[in-house]
Amino acid sequence: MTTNYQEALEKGWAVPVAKGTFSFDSDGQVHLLASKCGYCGTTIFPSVARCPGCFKANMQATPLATGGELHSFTTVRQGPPEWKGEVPYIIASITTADGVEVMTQLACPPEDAKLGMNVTLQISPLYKDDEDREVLGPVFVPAN
Amino acid sequence: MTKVAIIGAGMHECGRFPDKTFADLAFVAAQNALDDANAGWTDVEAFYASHTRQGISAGEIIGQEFGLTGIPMFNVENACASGTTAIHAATQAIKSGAHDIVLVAGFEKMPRGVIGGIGEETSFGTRMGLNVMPAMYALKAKRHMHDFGTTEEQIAMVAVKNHKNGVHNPYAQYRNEITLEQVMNSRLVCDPIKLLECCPTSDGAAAIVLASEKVARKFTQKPLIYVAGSSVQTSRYNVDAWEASRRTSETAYEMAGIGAEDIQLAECHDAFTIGEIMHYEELGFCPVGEGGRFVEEGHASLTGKLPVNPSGGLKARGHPLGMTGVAQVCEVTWQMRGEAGQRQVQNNPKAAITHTQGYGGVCAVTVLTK
Repeated sequence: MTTNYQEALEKGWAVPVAKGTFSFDSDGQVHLLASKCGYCGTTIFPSVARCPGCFKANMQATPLATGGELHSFTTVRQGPPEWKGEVPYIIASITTADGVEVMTQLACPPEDAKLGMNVTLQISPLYKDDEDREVLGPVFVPAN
Repeated sequence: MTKVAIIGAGMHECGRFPDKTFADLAFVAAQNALDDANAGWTDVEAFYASHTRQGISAGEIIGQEFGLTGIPMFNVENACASGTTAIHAATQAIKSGAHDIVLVAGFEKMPRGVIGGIGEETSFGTRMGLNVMPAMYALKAKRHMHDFGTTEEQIAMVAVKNHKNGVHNPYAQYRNEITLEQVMNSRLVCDPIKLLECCPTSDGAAAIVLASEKVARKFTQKPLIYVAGSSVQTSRYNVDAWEASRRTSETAYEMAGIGAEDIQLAECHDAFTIGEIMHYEELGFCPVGEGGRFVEEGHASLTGKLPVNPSGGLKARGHPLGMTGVAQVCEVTWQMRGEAGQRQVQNNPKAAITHTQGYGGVCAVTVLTK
């Protein structure tokens, strides 16, 4: 499944939700693309120009661990005008296995979500753009 | 440096005014504040206009209604903290010696529904639908309940309290009491936050006249309310959820030479009910984790030891973004003068705090003393 999305992105049949926010490894597994400081190791997602820990300019793109723990979540029943996808959807903050706090969506029935549960990243269609292409984004789902 | 006093406060009520422009609303508030100060437009040496989405030179458009005196005018945008930020900047201008009389007006006309247009259009957060203000508060609420045992009922009590206060505020958008059951049964917006725990989107305006101590008494014989401390700060990386507001308020307390234990009145940023619970903790009214109990035990009520949001807060008074920080200081001014009518607090407060925070991690605080 993931491989198909990777191919769709490569061939332009689908577009990423935002540039430079995720990548695929050689196994076709999707990873969030964070930036990591070459000096102090501080890692942050989405990426920024300067290190928020030491303020130096040596940030390098780093794929994050695909697994993580659900820190908090909420179900959005009325989205902002900018959101082009379906409601309801779940916004979640997740601590990845490499210890980075990230925020994205969690795709599962709200009753299945529990604080502290293990989650894993996958790529998922969110909505279609003006040219009828699938817009793909990285979302977490319950592990297993 | 001179002390800075509030010599005038005025508002236009909050609500929906489709037939009025933002300038109509701000003009009324500004004229009310000038009247309250026994001052005229020609006394004003600088004008600070706070708003988030009223367009280019909105402040100058209001100034033109009053007359072209050539004074400096500044448009201040800092999300929900715009009004408090404008007061901070105006206070600094007087302290610097540049001006003796400054007018601050905060105003906004807002579209209905969930606030949009925050964050960059092509950013990950915007495109993923993550820039949802009630959701940001909901994430904190769920952690607060999980970590400290705070209950949904305790959080909902903030809305009940603030609506009760709003009943007697002639400038409030909602002047009706609501019950705990009504709040708990209102529809979910972002769980656990329900509709009646969200501030409305509103139109409204508020204004204050600030003066140096040297000239203040030439205008008014009312009690002078001093801006004893003010601070605008932003978030830091890798800190807890309470840090920015705690740090900002501590700076303002230090400027005022007081501590949180001296505060007897507060207007804080109850955009969503959990916000007020956490602000009790951030501003130093109670330890972290005990905000739920603080409201449940009545300490924040009009007759409590530390009344919070006697105006009705963002929840009942309304939250036209650029207005809010200025309206908070209007309320504190009236309360500290003893002019708040049926919503008058009974503890004769000598020190008060106002607090706003907004998108992008901004936090702003004013400490007022009598």
